[in-house]
Amino acid sequence: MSEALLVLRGLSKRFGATAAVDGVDLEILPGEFFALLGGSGCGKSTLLRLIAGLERPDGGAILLEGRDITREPPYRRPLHMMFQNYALFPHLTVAENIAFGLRRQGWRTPAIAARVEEMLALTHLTELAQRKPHQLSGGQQQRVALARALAPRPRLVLLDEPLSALDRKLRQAMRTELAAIQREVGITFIIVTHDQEEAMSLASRVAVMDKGRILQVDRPQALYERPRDRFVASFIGQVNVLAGTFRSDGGRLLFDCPALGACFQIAEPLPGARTLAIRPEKLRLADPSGPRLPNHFRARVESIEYRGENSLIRLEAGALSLLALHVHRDRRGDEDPPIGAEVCLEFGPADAFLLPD
Amino acid sequence: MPFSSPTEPRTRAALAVAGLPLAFFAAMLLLPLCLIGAISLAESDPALSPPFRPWWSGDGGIGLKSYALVLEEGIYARAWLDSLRIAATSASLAVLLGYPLALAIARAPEKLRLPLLALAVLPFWTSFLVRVYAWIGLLRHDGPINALLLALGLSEQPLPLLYGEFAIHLGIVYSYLPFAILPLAANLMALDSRLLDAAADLGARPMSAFLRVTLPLSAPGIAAAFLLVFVPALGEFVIPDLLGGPDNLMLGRLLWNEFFQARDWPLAAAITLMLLAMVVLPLLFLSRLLGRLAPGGRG
Repeated sequence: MSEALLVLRGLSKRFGATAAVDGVDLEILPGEFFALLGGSGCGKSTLLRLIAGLERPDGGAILLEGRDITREPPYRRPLHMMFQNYALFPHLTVAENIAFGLRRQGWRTPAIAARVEEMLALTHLTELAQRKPHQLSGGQQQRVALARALAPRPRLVLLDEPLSALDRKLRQAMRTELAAIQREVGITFIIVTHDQEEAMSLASRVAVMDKGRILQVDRPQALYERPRDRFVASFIGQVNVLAGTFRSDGGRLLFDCPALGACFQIAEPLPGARTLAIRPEKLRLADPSGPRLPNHFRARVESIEYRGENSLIRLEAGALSLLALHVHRDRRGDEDPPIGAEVCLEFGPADAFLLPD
Repeated sequence: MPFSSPTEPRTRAALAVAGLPLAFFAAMLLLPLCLIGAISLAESDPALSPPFRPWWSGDGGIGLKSYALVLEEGIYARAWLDSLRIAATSASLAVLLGYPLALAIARAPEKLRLPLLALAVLPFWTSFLVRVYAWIGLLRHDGPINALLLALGLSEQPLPLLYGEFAIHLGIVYSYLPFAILPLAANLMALDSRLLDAAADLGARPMSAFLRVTLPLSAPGIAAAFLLVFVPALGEFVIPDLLGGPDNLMLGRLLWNEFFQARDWPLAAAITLMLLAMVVLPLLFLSRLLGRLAPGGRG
């Protein structure tokens, strides 16, 4: 017996010649807020539909609380989905939409009424109980969809791009609300999203998907600071990629970068690695009096994007194009360099990471 | 104009676009309708050609005599009720038969939908009259259906299938089934399949999902299908004439008799207008009902 709530083993689904989901192994823990992150067409929505039972897998197994549910029809799975664009029943009121799952699952009438009340209160919809979906705003419809999925107390709630149909400001507010509701009900959530910020801020663990495969599953911090894959490194946040060779020299870990004519000290080894990655905010402009960190090189400022709290500086060093994030911590003496200026960039050994090919 | 709005040019453009069809509608429907109304108020005179006295040119009187006759004579009331009943039951049967077919077409793989719809309307490629005639041959005393029933021992003697309400219902359902399938299929194809996913996800078995989601959301399609069979069936002449036998008097047939055999044009005109009223009233009722059932409507 595994302690995981949901286990996926070698799950695959093909549509014609393309593998939408290609041998996915995954374990979801009870109470977790898990995110499946990837670009459009990466297979994340198909994976969610496989878990819900709305698609039949071509291979692999799905276990819920140790029970194999791979062949079970969707209506027998104790998990509910919040659909993209919500899929609310247009002919039913808000209250009837929320009660739909309870009725199908044989709840008694007084229990249904009490549970619907509870869900309406949780999602601040009490006043709108008798409205039809088309009379609601996007944010309200989103809350009805969530209440409908939560009402029958499922073991697991699957959320397919739950915030993508909302405008930016509402999305921020709903993100906070979604996190609060998940904490309050304590039900395991799996969210599918293409928005890395959404995945990182909501989820306790994130799986990054590309071409039907899961590339890395980790805490958001680990995904950002220690990506183990080139796609993951570039999909989450921005990254500078330097070609070169890794070597270890008498206990010191070094990376030779011919394009910059430099040899950098690094902190974590990866034998055979030929790529060094460094995030823009880790590349610092060195003090005019000289660099303080062991790794430094010179570059020319190409353009500056001033964004208030920081500036994104585009630089050129030889044939390389680099990004550096200059954080404005200080009102004086922290100004951006002029365009065209020759500057010195520096970073510490622990600030960069090696990527496998 | 007491006030002008920025939408005014658009209204004018819309009127211009709608103008031609509106003119056509007025010329081809309203004008003849007025003519029929005028004839229905005239006095009948079989000696004349056309056989009535045109009161609008000062000849003969004007009156509601024809309408009074329609209301007095029991035969017209019976024909009215019979037509209503036969049209309603055949339209219901056509919807019942058409619904599963439409559902099968709507749920078929996308590539197959158009070919299947084309198959559904394939009978239209041969003449309606010929197809109804064919039923006479099939339903006859010594026709293949009776022969089959006798051969299988299901019946001791040939059944009187032809000339009666059975044959009329069969004829109407057979002839108008595509009219039921088309609006139903269009409605069911437009149904968002994610709603069925959501129903299944929330624990609804396929039958329950059908009853709770598909069926209520297809109410407009059902109403359209019913009306598209009901309305033409009410005034149907060919089917009751060929398959109904001498006893049956549906309004269409009665109308034809009054017009061509009795040559009482005012009476035929009065029956026509009453038939029209009979079509319009259920139509109004159903459109009201639809407005309430449609997703956009307020419960």
